[in-house]
Amino acid sequence: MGIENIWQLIGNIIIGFGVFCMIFGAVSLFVLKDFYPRILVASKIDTVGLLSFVIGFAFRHGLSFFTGKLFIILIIMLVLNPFVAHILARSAYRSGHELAAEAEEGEKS
Amino acid sequence: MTQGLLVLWIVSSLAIVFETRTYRLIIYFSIFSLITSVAYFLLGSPDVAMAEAAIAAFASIFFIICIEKYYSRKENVEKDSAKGESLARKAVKAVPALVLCVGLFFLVIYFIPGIEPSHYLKHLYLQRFMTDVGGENAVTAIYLGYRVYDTLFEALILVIAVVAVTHMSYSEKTQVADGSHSEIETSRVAALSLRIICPIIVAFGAYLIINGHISAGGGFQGGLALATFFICRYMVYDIYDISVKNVLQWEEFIFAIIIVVTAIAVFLGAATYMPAAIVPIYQSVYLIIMNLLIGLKVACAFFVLFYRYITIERE
Repeated sequence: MGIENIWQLIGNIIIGFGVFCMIFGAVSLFVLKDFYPRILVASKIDTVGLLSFVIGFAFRHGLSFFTGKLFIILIIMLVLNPFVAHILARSAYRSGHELAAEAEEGEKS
Repeated sequence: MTQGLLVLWIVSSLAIVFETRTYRLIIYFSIFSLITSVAYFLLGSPDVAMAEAAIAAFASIFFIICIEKYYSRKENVEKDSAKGESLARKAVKAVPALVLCVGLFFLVIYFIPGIEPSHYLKHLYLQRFMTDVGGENAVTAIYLGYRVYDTLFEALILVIAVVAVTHMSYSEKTQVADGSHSEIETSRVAALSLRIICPIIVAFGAYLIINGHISAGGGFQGGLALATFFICRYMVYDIYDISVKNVLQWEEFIFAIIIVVTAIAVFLGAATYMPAAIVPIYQSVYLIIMNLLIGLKVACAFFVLFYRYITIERE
């Protein structure tokens, strides 16, 4: 096995991890019923899934101009995705959205 | 085939002009849009045809809902203005509807299935745009070269929309930009992330505008990216310190410059079919200047819209 094949293998493994994260995230988007857990899972799909995809592609492709572009995308997404999730959760919290369990407790007490 | 469509087109537009009853007007309008979208499809641009059909479907439903609400609010409005007319006038008014019905029926039955769209214009543009208008982006060549008057009207529509929004939401309170903050406390995470992203957004917008005639992009898209920068600026600092009125005046001023530049370029032959004697660098200069002006104008327009909505929320 040559050195290039090893890079390809590492890239495939990382992309496989990304696919794993994305599939479980997509399933749990339907399993979870509340807003805040769904935001958590959605940001996980965006951040972890996309990042592992980009890193895997960079490993597969080797060092070139294409990899530089990939890393620019990676940096932007690393900043933007948590920011989007943060803004969504923050505005939901500020406008008074409650978890379903907490709302039930509030009604009982 | 296309000639028959154009005849129907003229008939429907005449019907729109001479019709006075609102419901029928809407139906004529949607027929007009249907014929337009079929004509677009036959000329080889199915995307524009789909957009036209969707807009017509949405707009006719929207108009009908608006009219229903209006009449339910004012019950005394006389619904049918065509009462008490002579029979001859009624017959004359029924002619365009009849022609349109028969024409559309034959259109659907005989011509629509299995028709071949013509790609004549597309091939012509793709062959000749580099020598006619210059640049390497065919879209830019079309919207700044072959269809430059359409671009003027598109920019004019944006100006009218912005002026309408600022005029209808006018209030004395928010005319002065006093540097006031809103009551919501800003999120530090958002401020930090946006500070990292903002330079990238500005660089991307400038790249889209200046490189618009070579690669994908152009004035409208780049202007939107530049306007995003102002939204980020507001989200970071949460301050109302730029007067909407001044920016609106700037936008109108830039629009006047766009008209002047287009007129000069058309007279010199840059925007229309350009003689081969004129050097290519001249074409590139024209495209870059127009992209820059349109980008600045769109950025100003969306800045005004955004700040206007913020100030409405604060009142």
